[in-house]
Amino acid sequence: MYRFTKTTLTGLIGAFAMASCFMGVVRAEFPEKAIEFVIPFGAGGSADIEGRLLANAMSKVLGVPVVPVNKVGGGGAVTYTHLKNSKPDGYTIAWASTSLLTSSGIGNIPFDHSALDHLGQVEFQPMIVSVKGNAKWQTFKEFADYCKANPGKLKIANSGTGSATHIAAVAVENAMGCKVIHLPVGIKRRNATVLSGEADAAVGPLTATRRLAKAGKLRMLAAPTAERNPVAPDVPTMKELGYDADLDLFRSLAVPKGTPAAVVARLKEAMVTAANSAAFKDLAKKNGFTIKPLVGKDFDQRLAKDGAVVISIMKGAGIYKSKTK
Amino acid sequence: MSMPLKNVIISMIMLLIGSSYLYFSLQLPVRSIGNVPGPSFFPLVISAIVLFLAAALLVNGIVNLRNEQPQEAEPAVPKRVISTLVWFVLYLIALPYVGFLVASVPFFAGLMMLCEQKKLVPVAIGSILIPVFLYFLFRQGFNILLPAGQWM
Amino acid sequence: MIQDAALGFSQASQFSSLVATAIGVMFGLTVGMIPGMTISTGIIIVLPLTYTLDPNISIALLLGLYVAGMTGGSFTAILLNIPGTPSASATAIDGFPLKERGEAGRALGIAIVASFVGGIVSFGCLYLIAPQLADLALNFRAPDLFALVLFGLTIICSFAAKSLIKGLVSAALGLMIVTVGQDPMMGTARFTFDNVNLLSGVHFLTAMIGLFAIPELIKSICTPATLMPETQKKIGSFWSVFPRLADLKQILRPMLIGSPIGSFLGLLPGAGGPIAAFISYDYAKKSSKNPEEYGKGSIEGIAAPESANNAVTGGALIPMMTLGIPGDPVTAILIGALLVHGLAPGPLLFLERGDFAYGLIFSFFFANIFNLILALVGVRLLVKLLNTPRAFMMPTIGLLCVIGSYALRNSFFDIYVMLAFGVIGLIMRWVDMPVVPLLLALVLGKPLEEHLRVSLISSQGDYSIFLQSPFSVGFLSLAAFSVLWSLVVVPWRDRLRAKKLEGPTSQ
Repeated sequence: MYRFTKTTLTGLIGAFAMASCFMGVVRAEFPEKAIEFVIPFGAGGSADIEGRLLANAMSKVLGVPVVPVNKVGGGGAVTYTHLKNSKPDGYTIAWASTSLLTSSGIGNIPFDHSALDHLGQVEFQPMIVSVKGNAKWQTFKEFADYCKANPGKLKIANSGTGSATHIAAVAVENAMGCKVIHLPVGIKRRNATVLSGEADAAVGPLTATRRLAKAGKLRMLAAPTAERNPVAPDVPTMKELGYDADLDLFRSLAVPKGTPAAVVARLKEAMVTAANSAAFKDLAKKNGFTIKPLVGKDFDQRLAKDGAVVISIMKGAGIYKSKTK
Repeated sequence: MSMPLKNVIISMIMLLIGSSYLYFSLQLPVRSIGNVPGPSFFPLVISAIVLFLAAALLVNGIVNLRNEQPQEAEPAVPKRVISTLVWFVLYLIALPYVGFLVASVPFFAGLMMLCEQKKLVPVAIGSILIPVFLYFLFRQGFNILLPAGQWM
Repeated sequence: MIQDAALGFSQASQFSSLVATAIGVMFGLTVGMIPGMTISTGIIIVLPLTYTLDPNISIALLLGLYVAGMTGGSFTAILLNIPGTPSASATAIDGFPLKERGEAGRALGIAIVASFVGGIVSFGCLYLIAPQLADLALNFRAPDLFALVLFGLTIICSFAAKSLIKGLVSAALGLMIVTVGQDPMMGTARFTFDNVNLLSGVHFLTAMIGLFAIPELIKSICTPATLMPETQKKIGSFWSVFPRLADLKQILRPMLIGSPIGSFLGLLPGAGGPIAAFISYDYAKKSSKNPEEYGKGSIEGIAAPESANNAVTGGALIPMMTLGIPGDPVTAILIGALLVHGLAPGPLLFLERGDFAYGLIFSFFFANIFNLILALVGVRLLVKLLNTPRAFMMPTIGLLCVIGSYALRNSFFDIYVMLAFGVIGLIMRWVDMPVVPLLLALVLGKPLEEHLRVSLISSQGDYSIFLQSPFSVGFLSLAAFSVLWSLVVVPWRDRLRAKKLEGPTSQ
């Protein structure tokens, strides 16, 4: 009996040791299970379309499913809060964007971008000021003049209070020098509000605006960006028109703070490969976003530069860190 | 238990829930962006509706309580309801530790026995084969994540 | 538009979509048929699959299930006098007597053909009305949408409950739950009590699994084996199921009554199959040349409710696709399945993803075709499935509830939430409070709040904005009307119910 127990015990220990060795080997190989890919904006928007394709491409590189999940709300705040609270094991990554800077700047989240680790930038694109296809304003100047004549009357739709499109709209507002009403209608309703005439204009990423503009339902007036985009060569930049507003929408990937360096390295590699994949390049060409992977120092610079721009826009409108009363 | 009595009980519970909801709504922060309804606006509206409805249900229940004679006694909560829930709770406690595959086997066997399957062989076959089948179907076949155990 | 329709047709007629539709139909017939499993249970079972399958494939699967579930319910109603789903209750009134006369095959055939006609008529409505309604809905502004959603909620409450007030309480409970988590407008945490898991709120699919599947599961487990129906039933020869020409002529009129009634009631959120079936049964009987046959095995009495409850499906898809407003748990799940894949139902769906919108409509068409063929050919085989032992089926459903709630967001917390909703569902059944308003309030709560707040931002705090648009005034009056109407109609409906229907009106 005694011997039997001992043999069993030895066997068990042996098996356990082998199992842990085996598991150790497996663990070393990241990733071993599906990765959650959190998208801060709703179904059908540009963040969603581009994010899903990138997730798909990354899944091919990494050999595990990369599952897109939309966590919508607070201009990105819901996703960033979720990411910050997730385990830093590389199995939760967020499709971050300029909205990280803006939602923290406006005070929707009580932390800033340094509370997360960043894989780096994937792409960027201009945001577009558009009006209804049959609107009376043919040019941005007419729109701005109308605004000056009727301050506090025009309504501009955005993807949510504190989102990048909201802050871009604030930048446009600052540049025009007259007050407007910002309608935080969300991705799903942003274009619809313009079509129904409820809002006079919308600010949205080029990707999300392009399709309806092509169909003549929307008219793109101007873009607060540095240079014209090849997909929409007729849309002037705000600078060309003499308005000082320049905020592009970058999209990047972020992971929770403290994710192991090896895991981050593997994810970075997958991100860059996926960003340069044929499928993603096709989408970029079609929709007009620019693929430009930036990692490490380069991306830190971008964050610092855009962060400063966002803060100055917000300060100009008096909404920086709008605290709770 | 008669329906009016149940109505009285449930309306009391709703009053309780409604008033705590109101209390927490009033604690919500007020943001200074614009002169527009903040985060607590909608909850306050709901609080008012819930409290009104609960009060109406309470009055309705009390009125009918007087008019109607209490009806035949219902059987108490059947034992199997409790047993099923206990099996679920045990299963959910075990899942994060041992994962889907291991935890599902005893759970499945337990529910099978609750369904009056007393013979051991079908219970053993069902409780092992079906979870294994589901595991491979979802995990391998459809690439869906299943609860994984931290001990495994 | 024609282009989109052609694209949609080719998408829906792809081999993979057709296979998915056929599988959905087989599955729907099965779950519809088995008492204690409703269409909602069936949907919960395939739910995890829809997270990863292509959107057009998962939609084809779900539509097949939806359509066939309505038909499958009539099998058990006819053979056992137990409706497999609540929608089939009215079918039993004449179906069972006809089977008792030894004409089970004939009764089943009539039910299947009537289902098909109802489905195809509602397909016609869907195809013609949905794009027009989507165009109209493009003009809706935030106050209109707020009023519309509010109307949806009140009409769901007034249809779902015997007592309006309990329906409203149920909906209000749902609205309270929906506010848990981060505020959709500003990201402020509400009612989260510093719990990280509560930040993203309760997902309605998690709640739905708990509210519907767990009480059904427990009820089924608690039914002693001796009470389970004897299920060995003879149908007759293979050809006995195919209806004769004379029968088809006779049921034409009741089907032409049932199909429009069903399509129209499907359009209204919350009305659903059972109500449509009873109303058209009643109406067909009143207008029949030989009403005395009703209740004794009249084939007209089978055709009217069966065409009506299948016509409900196409009707219910109209508000779901064009307005994003679900009328029942199944369309709520369809919305969820679309959203998981980045497709947002609403007026813009036709404009931005017209190919997909029409693909959905044609998938619905194919689902009806498959339903006719597979039900006629397979009914003899399917009925054998009624003998599947409960001891294997119920624990499997238990596991699928857990998989479904976990896989949605890979969160253990969601499984606990699911079970908590199971307990809430049990309590609500105990006090006779409908669960459908709670569930749909979970879907509609966020839009309700967003449209309300956006309206007030747009008007800078002026409440008269809700009275400035004809749409908004119209919907608000309809909302008020639906509340008043249900106070008047409830006694009448109770009388109708007392005749035959027992059990919940949920699906």
